[in-house]
Amino acid sequence: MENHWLLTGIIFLPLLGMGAVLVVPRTWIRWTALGFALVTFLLSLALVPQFRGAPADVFGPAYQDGFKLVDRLPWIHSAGFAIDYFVGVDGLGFPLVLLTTLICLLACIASWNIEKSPRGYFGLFLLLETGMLGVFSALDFFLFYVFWELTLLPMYFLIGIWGGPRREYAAIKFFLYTLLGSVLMLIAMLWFYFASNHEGSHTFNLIALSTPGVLPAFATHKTMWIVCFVLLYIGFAVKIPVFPFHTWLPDAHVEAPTPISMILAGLLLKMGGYGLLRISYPILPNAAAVGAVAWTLGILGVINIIYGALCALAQTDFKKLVAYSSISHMGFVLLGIALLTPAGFQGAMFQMIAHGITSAAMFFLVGVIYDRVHHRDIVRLGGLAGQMPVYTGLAILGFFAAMGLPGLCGFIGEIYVLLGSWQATVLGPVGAKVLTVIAATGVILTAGYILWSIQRVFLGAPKPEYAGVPEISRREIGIMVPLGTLAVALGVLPWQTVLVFVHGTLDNILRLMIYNR
Amino acid sequence: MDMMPYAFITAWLLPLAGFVLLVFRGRKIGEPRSGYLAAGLMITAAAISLVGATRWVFFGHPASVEVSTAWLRLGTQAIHFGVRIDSLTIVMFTMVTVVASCIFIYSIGYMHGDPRFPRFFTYLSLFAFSMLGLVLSDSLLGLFIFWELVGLCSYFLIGFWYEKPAAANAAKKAFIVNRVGDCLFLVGIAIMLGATGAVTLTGVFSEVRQGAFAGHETLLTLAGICLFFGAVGKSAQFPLHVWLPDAMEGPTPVSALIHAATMVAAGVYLVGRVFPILTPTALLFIAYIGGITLIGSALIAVVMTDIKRVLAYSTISQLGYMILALGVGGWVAGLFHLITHACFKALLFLGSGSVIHGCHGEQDIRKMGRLHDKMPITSWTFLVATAAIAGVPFFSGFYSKDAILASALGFSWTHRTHGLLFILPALAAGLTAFYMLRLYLLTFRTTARDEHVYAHAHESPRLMWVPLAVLAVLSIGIGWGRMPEHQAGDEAHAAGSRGWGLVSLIAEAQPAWTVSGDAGTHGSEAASHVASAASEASHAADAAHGFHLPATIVATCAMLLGVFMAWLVYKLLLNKFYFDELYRVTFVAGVLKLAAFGQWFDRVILDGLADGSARWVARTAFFSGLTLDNRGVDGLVNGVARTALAGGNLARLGQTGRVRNYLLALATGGALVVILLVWMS
Amino acid sequence: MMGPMPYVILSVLLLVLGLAIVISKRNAIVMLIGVEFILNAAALNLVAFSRHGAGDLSGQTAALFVIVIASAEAVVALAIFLNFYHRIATVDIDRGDQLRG
Repeated sequence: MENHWLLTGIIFLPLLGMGAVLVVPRTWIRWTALGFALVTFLLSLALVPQFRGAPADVFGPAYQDGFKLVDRLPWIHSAGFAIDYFVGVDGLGFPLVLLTTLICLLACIASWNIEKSPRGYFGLFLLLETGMLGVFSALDFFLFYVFWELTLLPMYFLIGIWGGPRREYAAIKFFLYTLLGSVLMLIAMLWFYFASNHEGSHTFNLIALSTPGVLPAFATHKTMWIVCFVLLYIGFAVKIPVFPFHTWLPDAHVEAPTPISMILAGLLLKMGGYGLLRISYPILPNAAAVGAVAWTLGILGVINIIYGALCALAQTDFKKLVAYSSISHMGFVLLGIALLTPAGFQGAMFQMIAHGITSAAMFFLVGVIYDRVHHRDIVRLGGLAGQMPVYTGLAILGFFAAMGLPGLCGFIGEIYVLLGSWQATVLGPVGAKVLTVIAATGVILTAGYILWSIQRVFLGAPKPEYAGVPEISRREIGIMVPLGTLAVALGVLPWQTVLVFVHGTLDNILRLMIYNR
Repeated sequence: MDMMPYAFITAWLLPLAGFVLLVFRGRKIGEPRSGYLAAGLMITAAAISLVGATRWVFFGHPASVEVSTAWLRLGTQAIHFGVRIDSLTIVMFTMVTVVASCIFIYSIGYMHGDPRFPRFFTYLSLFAFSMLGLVLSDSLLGLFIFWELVGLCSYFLIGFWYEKPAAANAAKKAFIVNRVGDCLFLVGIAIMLGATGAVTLTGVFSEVRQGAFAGHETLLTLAGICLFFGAVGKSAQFPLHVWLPDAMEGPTPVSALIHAATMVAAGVYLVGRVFPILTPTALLFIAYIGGITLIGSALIAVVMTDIKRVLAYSTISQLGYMILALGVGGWVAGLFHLITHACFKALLFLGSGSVIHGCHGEQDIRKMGRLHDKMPITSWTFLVATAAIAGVPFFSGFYSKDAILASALGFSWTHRTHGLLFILPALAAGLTAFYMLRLYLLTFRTTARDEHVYAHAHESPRLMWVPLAVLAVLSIGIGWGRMPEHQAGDEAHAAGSRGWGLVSLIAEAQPAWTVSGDAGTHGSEAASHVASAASEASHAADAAHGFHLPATIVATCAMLLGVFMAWLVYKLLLNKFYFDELYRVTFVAGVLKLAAFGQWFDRVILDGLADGSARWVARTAFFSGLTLDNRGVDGLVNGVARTALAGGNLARLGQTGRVRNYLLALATGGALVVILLVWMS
Repeated sequence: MMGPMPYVILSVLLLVLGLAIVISKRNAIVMLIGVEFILNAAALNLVAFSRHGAGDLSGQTAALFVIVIASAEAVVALAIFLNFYHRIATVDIDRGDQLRG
């Protein structure tokens, strides 16, 4: 395999940026960080040409052949271990890498008014970006795990130091939850390693692990795959987050500073869905096709949708409301993945991207209002439409995109998942249909909380206490414009903007499962 | 002919261009010019569609033209985004563009001086774009997309004066109630896609025809009812009609365009489009929903005193007529009424807007009276529209309502158990004449009951009355025409019996094959009484020919009775203020009781149900969001943390910090080890 | 010829005595004496077993180490106690329980 430096460059450029941020003079810090985030983004755009062309060429005949820009170096080859530095992207990782570099760039701009020790902030910020990029492109399970843990540390400090009044509580909660998940993932990882037999030796190679026959012991023991699946699932479910592992999310969001919330909702949650699609399903295709597993995942997805929406409806803290809406939206991802249909997979993947855009936009919008009035109590807000018309317009665009209005990105993900899950056969003739109908009622609840919050924040008579509130600034509009444009572009041309790059890989994963069955 | 779709697509995109321009440059363009821009684009679109329609009618045309482009792939199914043009599309498209043009022009006058004037035209343009897209769309998914978009525009426009809490609430309510219907609509699409693998209408029909649902007729019925529920929400049918009266909080041109002429009719259009796949049972369900709606809301309209609310309930009632017509198989009649209704109801709303404008915002008809002197043009045009809706011969409403009643009579004649489906609309016809004439008389005639309102009333500017005049002409003439003697697609299509006018154009688009027709002729399905009875419904249009005369007589009698009663009330009222008391002593009392009951039922039970379910959802939300999540799930999590902490505290007890204690423990441990070793050896 | 038994018994007595002192006394100096008892019990054992068992001088050597370490330990311990006394003005080590959990 030929080695490509491009992906490695993209992954480690932010780390280099962190080094630079630590040494440059104080006044240059922001610009340095911005520069590195921007260059990373531009570099990641160079991935696009790799994914243009006939599907057969781009995605390869099977899941294992679809990886581009592979870079592989031996890393730890002592004490009997064979661990490689092994990265590459396929249709699954590529859009998320691109999303990561974009959201990080925008979050970096959104961080402009961080005053408390900016050196540390931007350093950790760039470290976090490297961690996420690594997660989305690692092809060695050990490396994946290292990057996975690497995201944890900067996030902990970013919430714990730059957060709101209950930041310690939120940061520790976030840390412990994720740690619990990753410990279980570690067990599964080691289990896979020692059970694997790839060309005569154990391996962490994710591509190899997904090849049939590499895990001989697993072929015969049903309980083994179920146990491993559950271990991995909890690890990823914490990130998504799936009910009942979700309670860290509202706390973390409420306390995190705005740009960190953008990253948390826009990118970190995607690591869970990505993990399921990259690790659980290709390595344990048999477990995923077990009726009980599909039922459990599907029901949890529906619970997420409905329960998240209900909780969002009850919140008076604007940011907490948006956090719960994230839980509701990520439920569609889980439902789409669980029921094993091509449309559902596409919907789940699209929903991840779309939610990355809309949730970043929503958290940013909440941050804008918080910067101006210094509270987030929806009940006390009101009548802002008259004070800030431009802001209101952008906010309504963002919120309606999240609500799943046709023509905006949220709609495509939801309808793909719903139409896909309706056709699912894994739950018997009616099971999937019942779940779909229940999930579809979620769109009513979503309309409920979105419209109610729009009404309480923007509509009504202007309030005198917000008379002097300044309109959204140019820098802030500059952040919203790419997000808004993408929301519209993805909603109008979902195939050309996203799905054309991912469908082959998702089909290949599904085929893997059918093959193994 | 090849140019045809592209001409319509161009006309469709013009309002979008207006929207985009106004979104970004609206405030720069400013007050009058943004209105002229939007109206100009709309009129251009109307001109294009009129030319297209003329060409279509007079220069021959195929049954339908379709243009589509690959849009996306849903799983393995390719989904195209396309437009489909047939006679119905042409009629609807032209109606929407023409009515919208009138209303755009009118709005320039009506919205004069509003601080968000450009914004208003931004929303209107987006609405026109979405509505035209809905009409053009060739697939269920496309219909759904624009369906949602018109709902969004409706939301924005109802809540246009968002400073008023009532407007903001009404907007929210409209959207959420519609979402309930949309949710089921979506389920209907899912059923269709799941069973047929197609979303385009033609694809779905051909799959269904080839037996995609063979053996699953119940599912097909369910799919039809689910799709119909989309229409129930959008067309404000019982029981999801509660949002429409509240929607009158929006500016009056909005009520005219969205909540009378076009958007609310989209539900009827949808039912018309999916008509071929509706099973007899589904059709019967639809017919009864229409029947309940039309009589209930007509009753309520009798007692309303807000000019716009009378019209709102009247709209619901008329939509009920259309739904009923479709349900009994009067496909042409239902859609014919849709078009005529769009013209005269838009006129009525614009007239009421003119009145409200002239009376400086007064909407209570009890405070009006004798406005004919002050605003003659408005009064005359309003009278024309009243005549049309009441079904006075030679006015458009007469023809379409007659067609509906004929279909209903034809249906009831063959299926005596469903006689109610004729009695209800016939009764409502009388009620319609009564409440509309009452509205007209109270507003424009009788005495001036509020001197203040009367003194300051004035005729509206030309920008506003010209559209009224245009619509008045349409309200009279649009209904003229003759049905072709034979149905389109009939083998024995005789050249001599061709019809003319709007109704014949609509008839051309009538689906040749329907599930219900199939069920009747082949009798291969389980022929339950209801199913077989209703199955012949689709032939009711044929049958209706024989029933036109009796239906006309009944309708005219009912109308005359209504007019007579209204006249009676008017005569008695002429010099009196307290017409409510008069109502009570006249023999209208019974009707009024019923009406009051209807209103009570509507406001207390149905609205209460809507609000109650909202409250219930909110309570559930508060329970799950605050109690369950914080105390339950999060409590569990924090409980784990607390347990760990307690365990740590327990372990702390041993850590005294005294060396002696540690040493004692050490020694004891050592001794135990020794004893154990000795004991084991 | 006496076997190693008397030495062992003496050594056990010394150990127990030392332990008892260390565990029960609160005075640091007395505790140090107890520690010395324990160390010397060990040294006595080493010498006794070397004399009666191994036959070479390894036990004696180890005992010498013990003595050296005991003195070093005494020095360090006394230094700690001096510091302790400076801080808390007592040699009652129960007062120095800052490390309690």
